[in-house]
Amino acid sequence: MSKQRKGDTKDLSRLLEIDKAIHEPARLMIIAYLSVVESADFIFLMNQTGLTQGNLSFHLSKLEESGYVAIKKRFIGKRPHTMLSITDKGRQTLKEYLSTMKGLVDSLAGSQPIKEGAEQK
Amino acid sequence: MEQLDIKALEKKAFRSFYKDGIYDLFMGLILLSFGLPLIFNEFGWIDYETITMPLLIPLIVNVGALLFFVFGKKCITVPRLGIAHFGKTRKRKLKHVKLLLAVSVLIGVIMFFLSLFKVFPVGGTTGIPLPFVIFGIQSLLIFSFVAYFMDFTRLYLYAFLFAVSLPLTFWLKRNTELLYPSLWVFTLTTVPMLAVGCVVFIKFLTQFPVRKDQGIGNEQTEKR
Repeated sequence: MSKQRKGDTKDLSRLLEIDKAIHEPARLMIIAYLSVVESADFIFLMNQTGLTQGNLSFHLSKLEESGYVAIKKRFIGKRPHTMLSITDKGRQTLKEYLSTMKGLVDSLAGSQPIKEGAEQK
Repeated sequence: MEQLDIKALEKKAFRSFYKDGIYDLFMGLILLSFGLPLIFNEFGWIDYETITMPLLIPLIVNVGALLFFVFGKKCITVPRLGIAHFGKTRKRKLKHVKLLLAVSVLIGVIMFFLSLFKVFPVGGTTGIPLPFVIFGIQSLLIFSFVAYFMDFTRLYLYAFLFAVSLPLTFWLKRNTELLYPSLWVFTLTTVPMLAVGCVVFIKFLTQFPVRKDQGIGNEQTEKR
């Protein structure tokens, strides 16, 4: 096996280490928006992400289970109001995720492409 | 690269609160409040012998504009756009904005009373009273800084419109035969703000319906 190929395998295997909770596009979008604010309510997040109420609710539940998002529910008068914020763990995970993805993209961009029709040795 | 993307995201989120057009309408109404006494005076509806009407008209319009802003944000924007509390950097910028606006209001009030009691002479050959020159310069500078801190691009144009309004009115009065210069100038400066505000506001109402926060886990199960 060539050095080039060994390096490729090692870099790509890092994909397996990616946190799947945050890797899902909708959840990544949610956590990214929460990372730029101190807190935001459900409606704000729905508008920014473009997700439906049900979809957003599902993904937020997943993120809360993973400990990345804190959810505070209260009532304003008779209306429910949900405030969301990213946890320290969520912030750290996002940082590591972005760093991993950047490293992967950079290493893939730098590696030689396999030519069509070339035999594998 | 990561930092740039996050910054752009934060800016996008913050700027979404300008989608309601309420700031534009508010700015337009404030500028209109400066022009109405001048316009009414041109038509002979009020005079400056007593200071009641020249004070009362801007006061009524300013209070109306402020009420519209506060209740508009609370009753129209928040149910549609939601609430977000931004971080320390943004809070620090907003503090600068509040300070700048307080200074602007103070300068405006001082200049208003000085011009009312004719403390400053008319400025040189331009025929523009000094308070209005000062008003123009401070409007341009302060609103430009506010536009920078608030990432509100349209405010740069509004700063210019504010800056030229009063000085141009007096220059036209002194140096041209134009009838009703106040009416012309304040129509040309306030209409863009109010028109943009109305268009953006109507677009906002159609694009952002009132949403109900059903909370997490209260929705019906759907296919994912």
